Amino acid sequence: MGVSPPDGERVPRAWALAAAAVAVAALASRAFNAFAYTPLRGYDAAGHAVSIFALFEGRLPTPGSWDGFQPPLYYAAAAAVWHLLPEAVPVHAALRLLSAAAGFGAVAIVWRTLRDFVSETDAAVVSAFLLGVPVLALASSMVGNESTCALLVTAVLARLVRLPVKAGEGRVLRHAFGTGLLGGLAALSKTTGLGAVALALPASALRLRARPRLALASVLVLGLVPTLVAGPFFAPILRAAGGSPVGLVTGAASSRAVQQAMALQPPGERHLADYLSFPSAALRTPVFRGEGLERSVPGLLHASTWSDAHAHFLVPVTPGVLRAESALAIAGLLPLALAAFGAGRLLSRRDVRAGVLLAFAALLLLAFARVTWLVPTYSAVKASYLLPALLPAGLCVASGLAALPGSWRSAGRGALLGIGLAGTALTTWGWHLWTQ
Amino acid sequence: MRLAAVLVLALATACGGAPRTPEQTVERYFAMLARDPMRTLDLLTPEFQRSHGLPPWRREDRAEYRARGASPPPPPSPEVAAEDGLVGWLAGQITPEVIERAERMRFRVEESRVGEASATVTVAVEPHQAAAFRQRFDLVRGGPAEPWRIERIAQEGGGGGAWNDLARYVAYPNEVLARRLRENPRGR
Repeated sequence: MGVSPPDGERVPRAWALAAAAVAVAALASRAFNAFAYTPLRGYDAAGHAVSIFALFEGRLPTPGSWDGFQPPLYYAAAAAVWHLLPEAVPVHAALRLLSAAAGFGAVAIVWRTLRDFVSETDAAVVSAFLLGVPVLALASSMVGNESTCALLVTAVLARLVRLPVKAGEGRVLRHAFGTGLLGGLAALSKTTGLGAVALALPASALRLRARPRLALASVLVLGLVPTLVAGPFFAPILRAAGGSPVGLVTGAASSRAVQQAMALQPPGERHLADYLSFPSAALRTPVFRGEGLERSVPGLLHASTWSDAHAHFLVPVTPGVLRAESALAIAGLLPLALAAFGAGRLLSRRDVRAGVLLAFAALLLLAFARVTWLVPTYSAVKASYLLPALLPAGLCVASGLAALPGSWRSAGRGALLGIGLAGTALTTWGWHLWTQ
Repeated sequence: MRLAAVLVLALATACGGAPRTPEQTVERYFAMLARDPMRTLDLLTPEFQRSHGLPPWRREDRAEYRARGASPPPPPSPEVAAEDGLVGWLAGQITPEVIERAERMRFRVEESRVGEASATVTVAVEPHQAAAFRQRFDLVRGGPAEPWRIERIAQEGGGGGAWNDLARYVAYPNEVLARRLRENPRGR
């Protein structure tokens, strides 16, 4: 049985225009941010820049250097952009536009896929909303591989949802080849992409369970193609990490500097209680040093979803910035509630396609929890690690929205678009206030 | 992966510019510093990357490291030190204060001595609201067809005090001045 299948509703003109306006505002904001944000501020932007420079010079980054453990696909693409760039355009600005293009590409895939589950209106509203969520707005305004990975993983997940289970063998295997290729590229853009590869195998087997021989062939293709594409890069790193996937993901296997920084992170060891608390500071002062926030992983996660918790761009020295971040963090409880409601609804419907997406989100959350256990603080303030789960998150919100009755649904659509627009405004205006 | 590197190298060959003179290298250094920092990277030699001393990791981490009395780690390989040096170099020039002062800084080439493989360019730097000083660039190149790269920078003059330290830091970000500025935060 399907989950709230498309209801045949034509996109009402007003909602379509409103969603388009929010998306255009986000686009304008990214273009502004690319040039206006301080050069190379962002998550490890300087480290990424040096790896891009290595590829620009035609060599690979040194494995033991700051970001030398990261896969090279994004760096190669960025180096190619750099080579083609006129002198008048700052390199970091062009690379931020590359991140923005990847972020918009990911949301475009989300939009297309959501239409298989909910009405066109709700798909458009939720997609426009996602563009303004600060974690995506900021990640797609930075030099870094986060949004590229989100794009490729989203493409893999969308293909798993749209797997033509009843098509001929040739078409199914070609589909598996394409999915495997995208999975390999996702892994080569950031190690988080390995999660999509890991999920694709059981997901494909499950979806093709009625045709066991084809399921086996498909799984083989899905295993072989990413191994050929990404294996040559990951095999030596995995050996250096002693087979530890955590060492592989964090870079601690090959970088002394990363090991050192990780070992020194406050607040020291994590405890189970850190995963169960949600202090009010996550809403009042949603920044890295917010009082009592250091010990709460959900609090840091919420803060870094709805504000610039690392204060890379929106430094809360101006009271207006902190108030705006706090307001958005509070408003963020609404989509969170919708997503929780939507997730429950999806689970109760037993839709395999939705189940695949929810399984990926669960896998990513578990991996995130594991990394925050080992790398206590900075990783917990990086909700952007979860950006590859953009499609499952969008589906949960959309499913929650679709279940609202009548006028509540209209109010929900309006609220989501308002929050998306506010997020876009914050991540543009906040910087402006701070520096003027 | 290798294929990607080869493709990028081919693109570099197709789009690369002609070798620059030492003066042009220095002019480009000042033009790109803090404003388009990634374009300063190919102006520097590995020796320079290791010598400015700016660390790739966050400063509070280093302080905490010392506070915990942890034993110092073994020195990194020269390749890793050079690449980590580039990270520190970029991270050291991207505060709004440095960017603003870099935009207002003026300079003129005073003297240039160019040899076959090495050159020295001395410039007079006139920072905004701070004392003027001289900055000497030692440059090297691998061969006549190779670009000139900056191997060493030395400063003289400019007076004492935090504001003058900041002005010199803007013209040449390095750990010695960074530490002095940290110890006198009024200057930042």
